[in-house]
Amino acid sequence: MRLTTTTTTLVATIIAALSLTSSVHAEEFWSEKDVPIVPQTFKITNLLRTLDLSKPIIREITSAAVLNTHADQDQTDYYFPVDQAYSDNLAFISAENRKTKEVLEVTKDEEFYDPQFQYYKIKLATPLPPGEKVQITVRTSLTNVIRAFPTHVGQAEKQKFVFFGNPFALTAYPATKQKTTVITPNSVLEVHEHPEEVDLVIKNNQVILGPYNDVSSLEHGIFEVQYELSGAIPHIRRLRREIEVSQWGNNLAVEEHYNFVNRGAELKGQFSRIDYQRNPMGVREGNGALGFQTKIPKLARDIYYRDEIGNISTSVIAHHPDHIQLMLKPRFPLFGGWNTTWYIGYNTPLDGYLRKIAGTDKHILKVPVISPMPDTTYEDVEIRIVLPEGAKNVKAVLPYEVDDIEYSTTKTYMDSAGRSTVTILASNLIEDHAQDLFVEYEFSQTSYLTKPLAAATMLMAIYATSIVFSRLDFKIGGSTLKKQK
Amino acid sequence: MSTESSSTVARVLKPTILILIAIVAISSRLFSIIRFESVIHEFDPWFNYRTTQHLVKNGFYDFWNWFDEKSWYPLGRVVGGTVYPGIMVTSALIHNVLHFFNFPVDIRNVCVFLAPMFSGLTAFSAYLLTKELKDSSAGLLAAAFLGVAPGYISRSVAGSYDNEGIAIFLLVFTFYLWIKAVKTGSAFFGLLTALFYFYMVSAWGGYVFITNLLPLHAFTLLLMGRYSNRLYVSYSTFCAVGTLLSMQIPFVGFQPTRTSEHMAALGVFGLLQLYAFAELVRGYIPPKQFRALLKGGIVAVAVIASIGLTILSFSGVIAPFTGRFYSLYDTGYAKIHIPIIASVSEHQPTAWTSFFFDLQMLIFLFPAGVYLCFKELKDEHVFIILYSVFASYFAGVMVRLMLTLTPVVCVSAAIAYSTLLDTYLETSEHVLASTKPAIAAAATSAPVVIEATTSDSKATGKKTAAKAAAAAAAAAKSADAEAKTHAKSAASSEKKRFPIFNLDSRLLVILQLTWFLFMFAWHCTYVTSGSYSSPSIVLASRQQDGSQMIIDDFREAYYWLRKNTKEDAKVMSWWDYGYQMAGMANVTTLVDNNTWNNTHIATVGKAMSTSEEVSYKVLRQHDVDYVLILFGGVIGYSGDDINKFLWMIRIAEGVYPNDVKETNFFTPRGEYKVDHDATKTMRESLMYKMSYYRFAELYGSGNAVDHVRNARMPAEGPTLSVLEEAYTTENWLVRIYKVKDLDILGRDLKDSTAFDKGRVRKISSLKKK
Repeated sequence: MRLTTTTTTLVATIIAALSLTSSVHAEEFWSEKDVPIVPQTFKITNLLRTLDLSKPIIREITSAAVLNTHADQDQTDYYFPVDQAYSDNLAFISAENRKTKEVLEVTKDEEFYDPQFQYYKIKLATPLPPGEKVQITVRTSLTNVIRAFPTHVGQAEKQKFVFFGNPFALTAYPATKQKTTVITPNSVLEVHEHPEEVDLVIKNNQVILGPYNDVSSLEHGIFEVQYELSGAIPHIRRLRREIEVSQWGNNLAVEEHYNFVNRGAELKGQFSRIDYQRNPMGVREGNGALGFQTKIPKLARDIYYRDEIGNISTSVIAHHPDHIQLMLKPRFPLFGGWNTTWYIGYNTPLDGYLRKIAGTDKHILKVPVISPMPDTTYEDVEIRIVLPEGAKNVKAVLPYEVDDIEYSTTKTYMDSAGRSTVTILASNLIEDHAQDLFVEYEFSQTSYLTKPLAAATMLMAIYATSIVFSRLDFKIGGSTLKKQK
Repeated sequence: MSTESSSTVARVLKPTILILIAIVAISSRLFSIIRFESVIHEFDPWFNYRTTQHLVKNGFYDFWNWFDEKSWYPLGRVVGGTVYPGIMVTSALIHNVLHFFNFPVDIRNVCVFLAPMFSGLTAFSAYLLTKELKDSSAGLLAAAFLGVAPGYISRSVAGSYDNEGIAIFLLVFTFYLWIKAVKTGSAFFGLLTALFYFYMVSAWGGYVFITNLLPLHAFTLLLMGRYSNRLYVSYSTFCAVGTLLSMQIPFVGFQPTRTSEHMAALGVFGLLQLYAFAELVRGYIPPKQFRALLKGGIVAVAVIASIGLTILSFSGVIAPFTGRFYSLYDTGYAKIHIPIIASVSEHQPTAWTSFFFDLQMLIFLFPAGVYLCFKELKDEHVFIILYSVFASYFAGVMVRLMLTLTPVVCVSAAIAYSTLLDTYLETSEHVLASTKPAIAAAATSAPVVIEATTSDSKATGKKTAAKAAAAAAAAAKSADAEAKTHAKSAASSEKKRFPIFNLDSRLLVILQLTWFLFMFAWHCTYVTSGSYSSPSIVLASRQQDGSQMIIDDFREAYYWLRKNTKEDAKVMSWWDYGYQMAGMANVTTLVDNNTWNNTHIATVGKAMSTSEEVSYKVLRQHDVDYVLILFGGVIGYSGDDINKFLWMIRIAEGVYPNDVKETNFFTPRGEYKVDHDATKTMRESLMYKMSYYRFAELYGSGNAVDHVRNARMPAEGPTLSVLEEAYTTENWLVRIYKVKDLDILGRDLKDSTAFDKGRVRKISSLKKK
């Protein structure tokens, strides 16, 4: 069996441990070379990679100067490989032309399948003539790749994380020169690099790997950084967003249910209130969180913050010119490994979200996919958009690929036919996904009358039955009763 | 007031007033929602809420067969068979009907608003009941009184999702139906009485009050010589159907035929049958023989009945009265024999001030109303008199039973108040109008009668004519007498104006009465908002700058338990918090407010009141993972566990007299102390250690003060070796401790803790071993 060179972090840990003892073995491991299966039409003349570890979500920025080496053909498709083992961790990918700041289209490539690498096709805005260069910046965000080390820390104790990475930027094309900069939150860090010939400079909170010359395509190795990262690693296991559109009431009702866990290092022993009261800030410096911030629309009203057993009385609303800042403070401080759930909701005028296309019955609803909390990862997201009763030909359009979009109907207050509902299922979302989604539907003027008519019919029915009932005589032997009197 | 019934204005006005009363009754119960939130209050409601959730989620049959393994660990509890399901079924039904019509109302909101909604219905039934006793204007007053009387509000504010919330409505409505049945002698109303009695049985243990009051009423009527076919029909229907129906509730089961509390109903039923039989026999046998037969029969029946009852009681077929029942007769009984009943504050005798606090002016109108009932003394008035006598007694014995007194107080106060108004509000024209026709009628009746007699005598024989003449004469006489009195009064009023015709004095009384009403409304609002609208799971206090501060420690702790302990975590606490923990924290509890197993509660009491070594064994035996206590010393919350500790000790001592001794917790001077003077047993008890663990550190050297007991605490606090602090809430109100696992090296936990802290074991302890 061929030993795969790039494996999950778990395997990497073992390998790292092994290679610490003997670098000879490592040599053997890394000796086999992977060959890219995408067309070799480019050469990278210079590449700069930045690995930002200062936040729980790892952000990798790869800036490459790309030269078209093909003899006579213009090139438009640049391929960017991502290790298959990381494909579940890759939350977001985007590319731009570094010079013009033009956003480039990135698609998951289906054509060139490799069990080890997933290629992303980046379409250049203008075809690149032979011998010409272009600067491409690719940004990727990786979630859930760091592990707490040690796994348990005491209250107000600093927590450390370990990150395993490739000292080389993974490319589908050979690079003449490349350099990687790793940024950590502070200068408390340790690097264990493998193989050992990798050049390494540590400067304050930066680790500079390289520059390396003439790196072949899909070159890989492993290095390990241990660094200090304070605060919670906020992770939403499940988010259910419910958005209800009422055209009658000109209202957009939003409710969001969160299931939260702090993925930081777990709390060693138990929580001590007195220690916490002596040093409340220690929680945030250690592995805990005291609260979260989220933005909601400026005109939101009837804001509530509750959980399964009632209102959570500790929240602060701060009004800003363009939004409302909601400071959500859970009932208890959230140390590593601690869970909680809550839900928030509000109403906001529909005007800012709904547009009617003049002359037609067509309406377009524009709402953000999520209202993001900084540095938070969302594992499982369900968005339900309930449209007014009578909406037809519903179609949801999202800026990126999601797991599933379902169309159904929901019956709620005094509905006769039910309301069209769009359910969007997505996974592994981060702040960058907080873009707008569009729901297109047809809603005729006459549909406005459905509700009052239904209500009127119901009232009529009640009155009619009461009229009939009041005229009926239910007395048994009423006449004899009268006689007795 | 006879004129109003025909007037169309009154026909519109009455429903409008009733609806308004219902609105007032509902809205005055919403203080807690406005001030806090829509949340379930206190303790028992949390159990009801939890079972309702189960019912809604899993359906009725599953609910009926529900074995709850999350309470009374490791015994469990058969919920379906030990619960009055009325309130849960009611709210589940409302919930399902609403959902059927696509109203997605949360079950929590149904539960929270159930009691206020039913209070509107209670007001309406008070109207119906009083209308049967006097008239509709008194009925409206009674409805208004009962709608806002604090005595009833105390148990029916929004969120107080307890049996009493619907039971008082059922109580009043059953009484109304009973009176209606007795008045009309209709089997239909008798049946309705039985049906609502069944609903009441399904809803509240207080149904025993009905079970005993209705037979008592029937019996009293019998003694007063008021036996009638109406009484026979209504009581027999009620008793037969009602008893059978009540036995359908699993929790009640065969109690109606086997316990002393229910015997009265069956006894009166038998008596009525005998009486009816005697009446029947009387019609066929000459009086002399009948008298002899009756004497013999009474003696025989009495002897047989008493012998039968004695045998049945002694053989155990009929259970003797339960302890809770005895405590109604002897207030000292519970204190000696069943501390667990005595430890509940709502089982304490009522302080006399609380009568005024809960009923305000109604309490002094109440006797007046009862007196007016004596003046009328129809069958239904006898009922009200009996009701008021017994309810007053019970309300005096137990604070909780103030609830059953409130309806009758409202009804009779309304009668009194409305009589006063009738007397003083009648405008002179009305009085004149009603007196004038009377005089005129008296004047005209005589000739009419004579005319009738003459015409009659012509048509029929002499005998009938004579009879008719006699009757007519009697009628004329009475009419005359009536006319005379009217004329007299009219004459006297013309001569010297009768006091109530004087506008000044009338105005004086009316204004005073109105003033009373205002004061009553003000008092009710004040009491409701101040005393009865706190959810008790959320505490509110004012900060120095006047802003409200919410103390939400209970939910903080419960939610922490819910989210951050393993799913089957067993949490031990004193039984008061059992229901809340099951409902809010969703953990397994050892004991809860159901208090059905005194030994189990005593075991928990023992674990709390003994030293670490002894209680650790108990904790391990019961698989306890966490121990939860309340500690109010930091913010001065007086309902904490140290203050309840004496009850724990007493209850534990009742079962484990060798392990726990109450006297050891008192200082030689007989004081209950927690500071330097605390006894050794006190200082070593688990409860004391858990309460004050690291408490002194909060204040710095030697300045620690327990704000509840105003005690200066020693600088050196207690140490814990078998438990570790797991969570303490923001204001230290709830403290949760985790029970340590056995030491991995097999050491004593005390030693291993000492070792971990770097302390050397004392030589003496080594020597001992």
